Amino acid sequence: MTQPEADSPKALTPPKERSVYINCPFDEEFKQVFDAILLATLACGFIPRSALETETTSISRMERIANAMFASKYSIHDLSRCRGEEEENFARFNMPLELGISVALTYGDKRRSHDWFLLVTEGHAYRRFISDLAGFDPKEYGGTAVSVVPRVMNWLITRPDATMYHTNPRQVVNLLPPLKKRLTALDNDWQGETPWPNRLEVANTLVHRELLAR
Amino acid sequence: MSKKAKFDIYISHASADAVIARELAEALKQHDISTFDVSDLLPGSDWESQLNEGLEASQAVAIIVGTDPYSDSYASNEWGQIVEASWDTPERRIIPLIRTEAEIPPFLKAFQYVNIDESDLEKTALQLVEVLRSEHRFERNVGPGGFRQRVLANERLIQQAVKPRDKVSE
Repeated sequence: MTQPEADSPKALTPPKERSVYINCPFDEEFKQVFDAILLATLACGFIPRSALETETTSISRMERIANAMFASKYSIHDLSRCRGEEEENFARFNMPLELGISVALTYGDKRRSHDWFLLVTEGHAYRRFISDLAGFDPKEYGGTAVSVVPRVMNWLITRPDATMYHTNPRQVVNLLPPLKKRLTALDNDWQGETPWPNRLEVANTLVHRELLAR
Repeated sequence: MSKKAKFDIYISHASADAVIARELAEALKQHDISTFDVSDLLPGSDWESQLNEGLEASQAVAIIVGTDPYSDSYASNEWGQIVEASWDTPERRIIPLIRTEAEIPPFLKAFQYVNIDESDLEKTALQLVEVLRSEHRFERNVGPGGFRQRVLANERLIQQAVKPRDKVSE
């Protein structure tokens, strides 16, 4: 067994009140929306958390999800992909399952140490499928990276752990093309296995350079 | 007050602050100030679209902040709508109305606020009228200090976790 090097990377452990768990599909079809949520989260001064951040470790996926979500005061859930797929016409259940964990976290603690936000695409028939959530209005968006940015920002900016904001969603939307270019290069470099902190580094560098410089 | 706006002021509040919102609206009415309050909508209304219509039709937005503002998820979601509307219509004033012992939420700290005198709502109404009739914009000129510090702190945390390409590939 080799000893870890003194300068080896540490686990990403931001304070809970600055952590936002992202529960969204991250396949090719959804990648740009996912990255837009990541950028919008950083642009509001929060750090996105995901099961992806410990993807290379040997612990189970459920444990990775729980570790990241329990370490986050906030979570964002996108149920856009909960629709019938492929020959069996089944929906993916991962997203509602993770939303359920967040809802349980909210009700399990009277100090309200968890707060969640639900996204669906316009016209989504979620109410018929999750009628237990009646009264918790999700935010609809157009299913694109550009349309998801203001929705995420408006929610995060108004949370008690936000900082005073100075960023307009248009400024963040303008960063989407350079973000895509840099992440594509990074993914090529890592052959599609880009570590989560490296992904965050690229996005946060853009936030720093473009939003703080103004 | 405004030739275009249907309402002079949109009043946003948590359910716990409904009584003071109603009394304030009554006091404002005495000064010919018309108000919109989403809680006056009938049950079954499309809350979000009515809210947006109310915002669009209002010259200014007053947000009543109580001692536990995040306890009412409807109210804190309404804040998101108000912020969203403000991106497109920055000229619509946002005026925080702070109840006794309440803390100002971070997103409202850039705006000049009015303290609610709960023993004399007429006084609060007069202050609001003054703000509405003033040509001077009351937003405070604040720098990005808090946001800058947060971004830099996040940067330090992320840097500690970044994996060098050569080490991982070994």
